[in-house]
Amino acid sequence: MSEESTTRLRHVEDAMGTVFSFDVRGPEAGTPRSRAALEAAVASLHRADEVFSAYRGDSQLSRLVRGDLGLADCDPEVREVLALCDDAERLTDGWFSARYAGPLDPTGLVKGWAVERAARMMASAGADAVCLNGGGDIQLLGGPWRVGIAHPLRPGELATVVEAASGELAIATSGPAERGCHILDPRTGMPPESALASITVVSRSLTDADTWATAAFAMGDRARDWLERLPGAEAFAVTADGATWQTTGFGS
Amino acid sequence: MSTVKKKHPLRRMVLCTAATVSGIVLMLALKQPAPGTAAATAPVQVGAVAGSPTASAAATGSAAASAGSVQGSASASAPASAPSAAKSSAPAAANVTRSVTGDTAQTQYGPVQVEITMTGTKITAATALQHPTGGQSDQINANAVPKLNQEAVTAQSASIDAVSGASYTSAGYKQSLQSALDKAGV
Repeated sequence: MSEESTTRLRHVEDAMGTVFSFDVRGPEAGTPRSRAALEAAVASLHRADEVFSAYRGDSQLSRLVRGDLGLADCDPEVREVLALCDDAERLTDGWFSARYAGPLDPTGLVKGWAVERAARMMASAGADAVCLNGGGDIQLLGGPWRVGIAHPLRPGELATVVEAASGELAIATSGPAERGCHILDPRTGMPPESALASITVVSRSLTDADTWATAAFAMGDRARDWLERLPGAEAFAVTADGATWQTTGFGS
Repeated sequence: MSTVKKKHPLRRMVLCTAATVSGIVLMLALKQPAPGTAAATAPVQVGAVAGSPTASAAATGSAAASAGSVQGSASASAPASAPSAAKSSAPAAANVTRSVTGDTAQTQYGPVQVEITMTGTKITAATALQHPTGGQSDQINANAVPKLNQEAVTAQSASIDAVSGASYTSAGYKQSLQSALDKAGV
């Protein structure tokens, strides 16, 4: 369903097993060009699902993993995403990996990547400001925008509010159910018990913020130092007992 | 790991915090739009806003200046009748009051459905239309419902556009704050 005025275009779309909330502002927001961009952006989300879904046997990814399809025969975006996964694995010292459970599974990166791509499509159609929330991970372009961070321990409450005036800002929050952590505690066979209830990473690109938040959550106690040193990222965390911490550049 | 001091490509971000239980406001003023993005508006320096007070009596009253007198109305509202879910696609005029009904959320105590009353573009009250009754859940819910009201109002009184949280599925979305914002549609 979409709601439009002449200066604002909003749309909610079910795709990739989650819900994408579009919020687009600008004098052009209600124009046919903008609506066409929205259709294209929505189509790009469904396309990402078709190509990358680990749940669909006929996705290019599933066929690639089975050996029914060669990488050279996949869409170029498959190579792009796998290369981004390699970058993310290096940057996170392996705490994010597309091979976290054995077979290739880039879905922990695909959602943020798809959101960023769709948001940029809307911006290139002439929007002044775009906010696209894909299942809790957000790409902002332009502004101003105010984004609340859901409190992981108190449903309905916010832990903090982030304001973006202009430019690009991505906000990704990770909790226990993220995909892409391959570090398993050998005692339990599960990801390590974390002292964190959630961690929010802020950067320019959601493709980055998403994987960094996933990795940071998996790291637990190591996350703070890692994020403090990581260029282009700031972070805010809620610990399991409800306390919070943030990187030096996240607040003053 | 290297001991090189961290670079700050985000050095243009200006961040302020004011710590309260339910609202810490950060201001990020990115002065340079990246190439290819939408035309950037001039950076808007919003005055530091203290977090929205909780229902605690210790909360200061000076916060949430933009939300007006939100707190007082939350506990006073009590519509028992069916909601009128007026959803318009035109921008809401100031001072027009309307109601929007959220989806029913299944909580551990039973189904809860919240109706939000909006005046203009601000949520001024949130009331549970459905809440579990009977037995122990009554006692639990006596505390839960007013808090739900205050929290729903508190989130909106921060005038947020979107909510980031741990990944939700399509089913989880229905219980999310993001879904309430999308439904309110302003």
